[in-house]
Amino acid sequence: MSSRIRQARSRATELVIGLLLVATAAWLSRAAAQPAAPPEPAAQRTSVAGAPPARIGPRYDDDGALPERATPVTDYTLSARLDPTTHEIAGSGSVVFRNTSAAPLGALYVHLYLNAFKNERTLFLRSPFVTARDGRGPSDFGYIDVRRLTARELGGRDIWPGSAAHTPGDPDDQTDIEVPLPTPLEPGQSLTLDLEFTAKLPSVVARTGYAGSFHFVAQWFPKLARLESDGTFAHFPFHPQSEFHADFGRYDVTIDVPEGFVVGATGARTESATEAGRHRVRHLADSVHDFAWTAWDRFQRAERQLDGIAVSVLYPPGHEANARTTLEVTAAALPILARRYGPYPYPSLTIVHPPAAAVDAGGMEYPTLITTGGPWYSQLLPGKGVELVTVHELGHQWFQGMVASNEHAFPFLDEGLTTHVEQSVMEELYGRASLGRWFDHPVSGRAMRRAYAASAAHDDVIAKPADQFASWMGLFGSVYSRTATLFDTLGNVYGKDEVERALGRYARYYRFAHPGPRHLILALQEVLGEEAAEQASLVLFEGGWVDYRVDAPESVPVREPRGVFERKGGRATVDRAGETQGERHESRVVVRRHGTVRFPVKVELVFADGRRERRSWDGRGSWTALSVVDRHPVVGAIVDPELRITLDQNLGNNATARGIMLAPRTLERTSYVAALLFGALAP
Amino acid sequence: MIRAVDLRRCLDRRRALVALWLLQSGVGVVLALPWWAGVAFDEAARHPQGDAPLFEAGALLLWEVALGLAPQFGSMATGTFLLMLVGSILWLVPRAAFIESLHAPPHQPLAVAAGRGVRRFPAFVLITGATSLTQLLVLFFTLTLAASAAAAFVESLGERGSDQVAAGILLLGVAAVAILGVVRDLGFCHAVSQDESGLTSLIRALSAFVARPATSLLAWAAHAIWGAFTVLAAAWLVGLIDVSQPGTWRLALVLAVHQLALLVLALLRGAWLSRALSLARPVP
Repeated sequence: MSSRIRQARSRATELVIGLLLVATAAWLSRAAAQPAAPPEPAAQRTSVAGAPPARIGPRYDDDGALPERATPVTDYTLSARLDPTTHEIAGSGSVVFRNTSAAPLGALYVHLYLNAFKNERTLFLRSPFVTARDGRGPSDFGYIDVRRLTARELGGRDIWPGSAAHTPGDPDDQTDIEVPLPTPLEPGQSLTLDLEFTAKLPSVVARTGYAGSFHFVAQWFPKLARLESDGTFAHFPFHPQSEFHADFGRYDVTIDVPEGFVVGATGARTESATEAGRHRVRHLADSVHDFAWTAWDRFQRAERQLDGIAVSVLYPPGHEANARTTLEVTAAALPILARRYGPYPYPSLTIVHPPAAAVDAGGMEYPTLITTGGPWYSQLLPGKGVELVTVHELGHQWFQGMVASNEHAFPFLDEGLTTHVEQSVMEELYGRASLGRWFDHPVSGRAMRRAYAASAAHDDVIAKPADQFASWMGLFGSVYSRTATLFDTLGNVYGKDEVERALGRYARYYRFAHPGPRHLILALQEVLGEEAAEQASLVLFEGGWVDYRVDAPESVPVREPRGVFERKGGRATVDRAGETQGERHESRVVVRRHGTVRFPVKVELVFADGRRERRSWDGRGSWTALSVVDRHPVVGAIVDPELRITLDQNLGNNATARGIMLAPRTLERTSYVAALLFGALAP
Repeated sequence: MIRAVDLRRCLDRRRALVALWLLQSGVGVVLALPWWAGVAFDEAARHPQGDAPLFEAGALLLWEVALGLAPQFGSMATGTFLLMLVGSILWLVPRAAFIESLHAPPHQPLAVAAGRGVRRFPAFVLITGATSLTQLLVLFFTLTLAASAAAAFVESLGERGSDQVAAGILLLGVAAVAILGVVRDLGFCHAVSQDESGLTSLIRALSAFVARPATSLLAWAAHAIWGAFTVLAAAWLVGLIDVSQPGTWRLALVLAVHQLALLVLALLRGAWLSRALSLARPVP
């Protein structure tokens, strides 16, 4: 796996390096073009994509100022009828769209995400090299056909026939469709759109589709792109490395499935009825920006009330142990997340564990509905896969669910922050063995993430759109692992509680809003200080990196100096080697910092008698020399002895010692394992 | 159960036992050398605490070294596998010598046993080749069957049920592989005790197993179970000792625990072969 990551890193570096300047310049110019705006009242904070406010303030360090709900921009009332044989969904309903921007709108943008799986010429499927995380396309294709889109305020006129035939600039893709409006929609006006559509699910791919009678139904309806405050839409075609972005609103969805199918969906269930061989459920969800659901005739259900939240786990038969673990880890993680980033505001949470045949539906987040994964015997394995995925997806309820950043434009804001959340919560719950015990050795998630981070192109920009990474593994290394490792380092250097306070302030202020990278930096700046924010910005926006290393210590006995000296009695010449001053030694250790990022570090000097002494270095400059005079020479040195700067590109060069190191423990352990293996295999 | 008489027989040939243990440890060192060198010459091992930080909980530095080794992993693993394959064939000489020692009266000079071991080499190669090939075929067949069964039954039995069917098939396959291992050891013992060719010994071993299948299997299983227990106990003890902490005594203690475990495993193997010698006697 690691070699694959390294290859991916090399390829990513080669391919992306030409795009870095363009991407950075584009981002900076866009950022510079945003007018400075005063902080908006919480109730109106539906779009804060412009410049961050001058100050968030400690008011958002606790839950006192939290908005109760989002200001709705798009309200969906939909009906969906599933045919499990053809895997088609007949959909109809209405959407109320409000122009909350400051500009009149001449067109709407509608995402038809399922069309990504229509054929092998779409943006999603056309490249055999740039793929989604599962690396596979569907064996059965999927699509969505819009039959009608009428606007009540325009006299019931069907505006769909006037829509673009394809994604702007891409005749082979139909996931991003412009729908011109006959008359502009003025600021403050609403449009009620009635629609009919048919969605054909693909075989499970990229967290949606069917496998046998299991159906996971995501991105299944015509979805309005998010309206920015300046009247533009945040629209984009469905790229295999990208996720989604939408406005908050209220979803009222009635799902109609054959009798015997168990349904799980976003929001709380308000109605449930079975008649004429069909089972109908109605789900209501307020202050969410997406709606996903699942239906399977074999689901088992485990339920628990957790602090007023109805938590349901839907799982395949035989996965009882996974379901128990999922509930337990949810019960443990929810209070931690609520304490750090504000309470979970919804009355329900549904966790779906897909069957093995639909493994690609696992590990995904939707508002109030997440999917996990793992074989039925996961709990017999030494790792903590189910726990890790559950915590990760739970974390997304905040960083993507409520703090609804643009997943396409800046995937690090949701995946990176959530990976940090996953890592820190797992460590809070399970300590250093947060990933499990491998061969009786406790292995932590942060160690694994750090390794992936170090494998990623270390000078690649993290804060850039998902489709500008060379591969999914490149995105994974930078967006998931490098961001999480940055926050791990910030926590180790500036205090874990302080980092969580900064993230809490960011999460609370932008709850039910759509922040960008600079909003996060503002929170870091306020809580951790200018220096920390500057380093974070370097890493996120400019491919900043750091590698501390220490040179072998040098020591000489302290002697009387030779030469010609002017003394009281006249000129004196000392021409023979000076006497040693007792048994004193002068030692010098040079510590170096490569890269553009700096953090203050400790340097540990190891003396010949085994004593250790710590010095501090602020990390400024590219090197520093530490000198010491002592009875014993310095024989070893370690920069960052507690390995706090996990962002360090190479932790292996952080220490040095005189003499030959024989790695005896390694020889002992590897030879024992080899002897055991040989004994087991040899006759 | 392990019979006291077999353990005693083995302990009475302690020089042969110790020689076999030392040889196996030595083979372990040879096989481990490339891996050790990869770590020892990595920058991460040039720590004032030596390689102790590699064993720290959390495994931050261990991952670092693993990343460094990743590009060479494939070639190193292939090299180790080939070395192990060649070693396994050459190992037949000490194995034959050890069985010779068990068969002969105590205090037989090691050189004599070794000489006889060399003489048995062709017969041992034939027995090992035939049984190992059959074992591979059985494994391939059962793996294929298990995978097909898992796919075929997933609709009707669900994931767990179909996996359990597959596991059952695999278990049968493993049992067949174990039986073939028992037959191989009986063949070795027959070749030594009856001074017969490899083919004859293999046929006789099959007859001996068929005559007393349960006794043979249970006797082998008892030694195998105690062997597994020994390995697990050693792992648990080593976890307690924790070589990432300061103190050379920890390394010495871990070395002692591991070597003791290897010695116990050699003793258990010897006790089983002693039992196999009696089981391999021709059926009247």
